Amino acid sequence: MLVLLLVLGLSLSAGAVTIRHWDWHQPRMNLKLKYMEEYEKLNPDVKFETQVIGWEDYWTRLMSGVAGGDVPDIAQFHNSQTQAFLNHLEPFPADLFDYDRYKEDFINFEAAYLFDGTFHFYPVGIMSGLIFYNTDYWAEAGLTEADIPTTWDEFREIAKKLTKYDSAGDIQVAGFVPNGILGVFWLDLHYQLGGKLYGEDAKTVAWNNEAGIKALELIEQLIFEDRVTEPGFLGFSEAMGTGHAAMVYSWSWLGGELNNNYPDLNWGVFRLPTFDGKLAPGPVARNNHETGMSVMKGARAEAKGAAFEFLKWLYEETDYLVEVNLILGTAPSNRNLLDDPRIVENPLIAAIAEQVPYTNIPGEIPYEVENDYGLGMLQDLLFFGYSAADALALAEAEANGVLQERPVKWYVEDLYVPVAE
Amino acid sequence: MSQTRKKRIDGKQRFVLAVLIPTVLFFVFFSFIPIIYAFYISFHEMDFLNPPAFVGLANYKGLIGDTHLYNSLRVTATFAVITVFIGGALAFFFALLINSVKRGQAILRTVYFLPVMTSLVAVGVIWGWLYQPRFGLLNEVLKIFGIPRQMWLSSPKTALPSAIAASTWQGMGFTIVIFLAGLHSISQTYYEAAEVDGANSLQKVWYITIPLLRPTFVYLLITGFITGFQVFDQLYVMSGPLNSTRGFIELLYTRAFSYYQMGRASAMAFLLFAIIVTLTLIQFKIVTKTQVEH
Repeated sequence: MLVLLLVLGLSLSAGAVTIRHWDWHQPRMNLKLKYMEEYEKLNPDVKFETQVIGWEDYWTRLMSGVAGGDVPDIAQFHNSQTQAFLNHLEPFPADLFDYDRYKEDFINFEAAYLFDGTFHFYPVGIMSGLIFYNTDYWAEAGLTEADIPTTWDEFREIAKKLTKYDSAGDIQVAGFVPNGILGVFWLDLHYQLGGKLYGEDAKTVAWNNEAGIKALELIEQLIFEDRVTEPGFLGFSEAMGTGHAAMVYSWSWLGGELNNNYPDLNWGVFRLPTFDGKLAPGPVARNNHETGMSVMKGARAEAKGAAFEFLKWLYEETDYLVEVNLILGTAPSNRNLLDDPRIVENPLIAAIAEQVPYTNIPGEIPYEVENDYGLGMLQDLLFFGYSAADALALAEAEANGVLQERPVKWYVEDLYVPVAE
Repeated sequence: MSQTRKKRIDGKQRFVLAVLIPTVLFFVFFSFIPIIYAFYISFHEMDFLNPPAFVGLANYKGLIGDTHLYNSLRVTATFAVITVFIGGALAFFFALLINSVKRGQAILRTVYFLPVMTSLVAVGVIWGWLYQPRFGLLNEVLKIFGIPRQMWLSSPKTALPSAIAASTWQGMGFTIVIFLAGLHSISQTYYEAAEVDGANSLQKVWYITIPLLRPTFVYLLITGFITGFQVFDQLYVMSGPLNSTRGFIELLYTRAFSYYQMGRASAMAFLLFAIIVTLTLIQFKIVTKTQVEH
């Protein structure tokens, strides 16, 4: 009898599989857990083992996992790591995932996801830079939604109007804070003026030019002429959250942070103004894709098939895709979801959705170029006395040094198609 | 009789071995083998994601003329020198003061030691708030005295001194405790004899305390330089603009784990090892020479 029970038990568990999954974002994982539970009910042979690892450690853990042969079967992926990890991700099988439909349905699918004809991480959402504003200060200043600026000239006037100084003349509430994200903000302005991130074949950056200087001069005017912010002021996120900023530039993830960390703050959001007030032909900003999950090449053989089956099921779930975009503050990559009432009614997502068709994805930006030795330097150079041209020349030289040493392989900036007016 | 003794010795040896083996194994697996492996990596182009490629001395040659590396060495050396000499002098001064207190010495010692036990990240965050140029407490205090606002960690000129000051405050308790232990080991009879000879407080410190604390100074000098050159957390948390506080280990860490340049980062690690060994040998040489002369 015991032997019979053992045999039965073994045969029952023979088809069982546990899928291991890592993510760095707790709210997204919470959502996934809800769907995983549902999937487990539908597929009793499939179980999930999940782990949340903070962003700072996530890539180191994944890298050491690849080196040591201990990776999750499904890993949450981010396209900033494409160059490093692409060879370790399984392509999504064409017999399970409809490539032709994805090319039609997903924004930037070919530019942002296809590598040698296959894709290795699922398209989920798109982010871009926006202007967040404190609705209480806005109302105090007698402004309404009709006053939302569409040009940078209008924006400057409103920023001045919203800035509050104390009796000593120090800024108490900054009209506009790009502090902490100034280089990223500059790049959007640079795009608006016809500039690009990269030079030919992405072997160099193309910053120190007329468009770049004009873009940086606008920021210079906001800081030193209009005095709507100043060097050493709080960073954009803290300034907004603590009520020391009336407007800030940020990528759309800030919405989630404000909701989580500053629930009492009343805020709104609008798309980036432009120099002429129009979005077309674009690009008016850089975008980046909040990618989905990947199946690792080093995943256990018995789990790979089940992992793809699960991803197919999950990503066919409209509710999951809408909910995850609402959590991340991103516009859905799938065009068909842009009309979903939950997306349309969300002011943050609606603002991104309005701007996204006019934004460009340049491809990979090396960590050093975005942070330490390139865009990240612009703020400090500008704050500490460098002219726009000198700041750009220095940052450009540093960034070019990085690119010479580590050339960018994923470069799609030139694929942007101007939108008809 | 001799067999019983031999057995007893064997038993002792077995105990010693049993105690030592885990430590030795720990050292071998978590220090020795990784060091050897890091040396191997330093001759390769490697990112742990692709097969390593042998590049000979290229990673070491690449360090020559590397301006970012030179900057990080300057930052680290400045940090080490200031924390060792100025931090050490301040700690010595406070240790003398605490030592002269008759009551509540233990409480004072605990108070000074508290920051040592505090998380470096928490210290960094708190000091970051204190240093905040627009709303920070330090500038508010300066304002009372009519002193203009300072940029502290937000300026490339003042960021490193600001980070060093916070770090010195955080680590001073440890140095004070070491000095206090040294001070307690000095026999009171020396001071009593000096008093009979009419020596004042300063003379007692100069002619008795400092010479008799020489081993403590040597210990703190050597360990201070070694830890100073390995500084990471403090400068990482309290970072200033334009890489003005980017120390050697932070650059090494970033190259390894953000840029995935394991080979170059390993070469940097061995360069740092060489620098620390050289400095320590020089310090030993100087100390030995002055001891002989003394």
